Amino acid sequence: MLKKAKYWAPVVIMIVGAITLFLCQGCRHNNNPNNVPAITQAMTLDDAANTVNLVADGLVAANDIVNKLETTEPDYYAKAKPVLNRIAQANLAAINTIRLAQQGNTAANWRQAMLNVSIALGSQDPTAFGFKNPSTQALVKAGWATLITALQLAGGAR
Amino acid sequence: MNKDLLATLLVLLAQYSPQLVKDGIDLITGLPRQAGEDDTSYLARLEADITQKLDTAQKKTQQVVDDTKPGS
Repeated sequence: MLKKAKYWAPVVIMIVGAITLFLCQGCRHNNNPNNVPAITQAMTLDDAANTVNLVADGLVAANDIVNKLETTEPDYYAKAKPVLNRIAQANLAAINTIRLAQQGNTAANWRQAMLNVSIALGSQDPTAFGFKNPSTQALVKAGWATLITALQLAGGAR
Repeated sequence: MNKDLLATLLVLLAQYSPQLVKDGIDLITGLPRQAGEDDTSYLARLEADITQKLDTAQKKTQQVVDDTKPGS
């Protein structure tokens, strides 16, 4: 009798274990849709797309105001154009990297690309300049406002 | 609020309450889920929204790149 119990004990333990595992699996809220992480990823990239879009709007606004100053403030024009080009190039790179991430490329470091956009301005204030006409300062500040805010948002993508 | 952290929390929470996660995503995304919209449709709409925004951003940014090129 004792010999038989010894023989069946592991089998019984295995069956009880299997039933327990099966029941535990059933108790878990596994009705989680498989693509919730995919939605979260898409949502994050959607947020990044919003930011690069805002940077693009800011670039257009700042470039417009700089173009208007080409004849009246040629020194400022010459100084601002390369800065805008640098930011725009970084934004294009970020757009391309977000596209790659959207296509599933896990090596596409779109967060770093966003950071690169945020630092493309450099440390200097693009609106600080010795303008010939003092009223130009307010105009320039308004023209750059969207871009400066957008760059701060891009820097928050860390 | 750090959206990455929030997203991670939502993924963890998804194991226990998918509905709560869906509600949370609707709150923090700029593209709310429509009533009765399933995950697949919502994901497709999100993907289309990203593509459209990136296309628009690229067009506007390229315009500035061209206009600010040295020598232009």
